[in-house]
Amino acid sequence: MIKVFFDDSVLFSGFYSSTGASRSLLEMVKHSPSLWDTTWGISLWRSGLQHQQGFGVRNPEPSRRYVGTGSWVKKNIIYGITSQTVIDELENNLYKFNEQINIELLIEEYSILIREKISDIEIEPYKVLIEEKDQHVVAGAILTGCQYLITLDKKHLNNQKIKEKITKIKIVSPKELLNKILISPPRRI
Amino acid sequence: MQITTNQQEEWLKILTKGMVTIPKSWRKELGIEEGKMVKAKKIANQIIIEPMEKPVSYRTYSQKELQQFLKDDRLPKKLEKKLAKVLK
Repeated sequence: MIKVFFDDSVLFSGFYSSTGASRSLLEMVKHSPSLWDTTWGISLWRSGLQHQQGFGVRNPEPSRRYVGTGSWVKKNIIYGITSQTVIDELENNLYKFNEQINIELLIEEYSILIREKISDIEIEPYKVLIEEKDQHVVAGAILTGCQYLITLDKKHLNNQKIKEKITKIKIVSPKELLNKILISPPRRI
Repeated sequence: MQITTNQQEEWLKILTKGMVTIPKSWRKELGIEEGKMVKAKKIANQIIIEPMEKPVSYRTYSQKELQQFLKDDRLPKKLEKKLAKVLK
């Protein structure tokens, strides 16, 4: 099982273009067995812990199953997670492209879990490490227990300087993650 | 009920028991939701209402940066072929 946190740049690219690495990764998340199909998901759902952890679920009962997907996707679960703060940022940036993209619908279609807004207190540990405007992204990725923070922003996030400072999570581009998981697929948990 | 002067200033009508409606756009921007607590301060002849949790700032990318993301996101042929197998 892989848990990935999408930042604004990846959701933007994935929603806007159907041919990039971001869209492919979103497709893999979409076709992974649902969070609610797994033991962890069911126990989390039943215990109501998803609320305590600040998760909001736009699509608690995704209709899709494994139909039409290859065996690799069936075996390797990828959960896509983001935060409401990232969604607000995305809405703001998509506006520039004058595109009529229904973010809520796409979030549902790709079964992305949305964590509630990142608060000022939650970004406190990262204030000395990274630029103010990127703190919520790193905080969101770590708070949701993701192994990977997926970003296309090389200038502010996916660079050696930041990777040396942020060691709790792996910062990669969609292309880098796809290369990694397809060349040496993770073990099924 | 509200007479708009500019984005940061509004005239609000005081309702029964001193209730006022904070404009929706301000509530959204500051993350003020029903049931949440806010801090109210009286300073001289002013009343300041602050959300308990301050909203965090986020990045606004330029059109050029967004175009660059799309360019950087293009799949190399080799990876494209692998993905076609995985997602077929």
